[in-house]
Amino acid sequence: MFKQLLPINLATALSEINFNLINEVRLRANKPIVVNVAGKCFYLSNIGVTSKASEAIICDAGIISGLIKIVSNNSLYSINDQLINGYVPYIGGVRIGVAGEVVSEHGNIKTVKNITSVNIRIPHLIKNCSLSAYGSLVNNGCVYSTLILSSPGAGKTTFVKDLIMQLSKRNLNLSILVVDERGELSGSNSINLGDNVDVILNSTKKFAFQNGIRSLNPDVVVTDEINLDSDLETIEEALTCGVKVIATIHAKNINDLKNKKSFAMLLNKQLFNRYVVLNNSCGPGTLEGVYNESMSCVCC
Amino acid sequence: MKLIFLIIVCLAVFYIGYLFSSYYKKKLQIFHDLEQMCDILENQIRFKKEVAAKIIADNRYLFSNEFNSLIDTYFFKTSFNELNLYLSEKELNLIKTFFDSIGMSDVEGELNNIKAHSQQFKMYNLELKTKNEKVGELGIKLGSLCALLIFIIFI
Repeated sequence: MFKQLLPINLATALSEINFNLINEVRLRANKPIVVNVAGKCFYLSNIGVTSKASEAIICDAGIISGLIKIVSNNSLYSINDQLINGYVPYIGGVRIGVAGEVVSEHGNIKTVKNITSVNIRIPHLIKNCSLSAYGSLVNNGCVYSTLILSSPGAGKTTFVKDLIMQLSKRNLNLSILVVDERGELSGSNSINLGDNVDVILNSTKKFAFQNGIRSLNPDVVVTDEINLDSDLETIEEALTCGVKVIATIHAKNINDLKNKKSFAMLLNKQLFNRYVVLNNSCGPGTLEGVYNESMSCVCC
Repeated sequence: MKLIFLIIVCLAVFYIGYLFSSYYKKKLQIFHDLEQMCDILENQIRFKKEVAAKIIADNRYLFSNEFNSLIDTYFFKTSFNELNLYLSEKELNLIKTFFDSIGMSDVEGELNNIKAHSQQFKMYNLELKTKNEKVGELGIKLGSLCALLIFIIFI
């Protein structure tokens, strides 16, 4: 993948590192390149990683603009909507976060130019990583509506991807709809999530939930990174249609979730039956606990 | 022997006329292809926001060999055959500028850019059509006439 995205010297330096351990590659214009390997950050050097800044490879601004050209396939307009949102999805669920100069017109953001920072996030498929919680999330073939929470980079998406695969593999009667707003869950349709999975890609949650439920009649809808303020109504509508929802949210733990403004409503209406908490203590995706609607731990 | 030689000379004269005529026809075809490509790009970008490389690759079968060779040289940059028998340097620069400008803006900017270039190609195409009617078609007529005259004179 790096060979397609980056100049040959960087791709060669990165090939010295075990690809399965690379979580992020951070490129900042005229700054040393930083690689996150197994949760720890190092500088990228010609022979792999180093902790000495003096040995680090410095990122030329041209590398970043070249990367954007490659990702957009020389068609900036095709990724402009994503650029405005601050990230560009790439093949295999890779997510390229960008920071640069925002161009606005009449209060609307038109594009992001002069991109100076890029964060290449590499997802890893960890087979069976959701099995530790699977028994608490499925009962007699019936799936509980589940909210998966963790801090960023702690393995929510990896957990959800595996959960989709497990559900699809184990229960042929379940029809699963994946609402993949950012192309991370399905890797822009390059990851095979299973035979019973339909994917709506690059769509807003509202549109995908409404139209997906109406037209595809799913049993379970899975989505990534919900926002309690803007997506709650959509999820509530889906749940009242008898559809189960599995979603992820940024929150370090249950207490963090409780501090969120809309959480009281979430709890009162008992929209979710299970809350899965993940952390980074033994690597991304470590299960901290599964809680039920009354916040009692059902699997620790 | 004389007859065979005469036939060869006549055919050569006719072929020169044909080449002169096809020079304008090929030029015309290239600019017609460019116009057509602009329309396709405009539609596909407006409707699907598809990447330009895919739109062009998917529709290559619609274009002439000469135009496809220009696409390889100036857009995909997979071929370095910059020598073109049918286009002047000015015309080549016009095409090169167009290919270089694709994919540099948002949808609105991209559509405006394509429209502006399409308009330019249309105007140029009209000019070429007039020239072709005046000079291009004359080539094949003159070639045939000369070949016939040579045949009559020298037989």
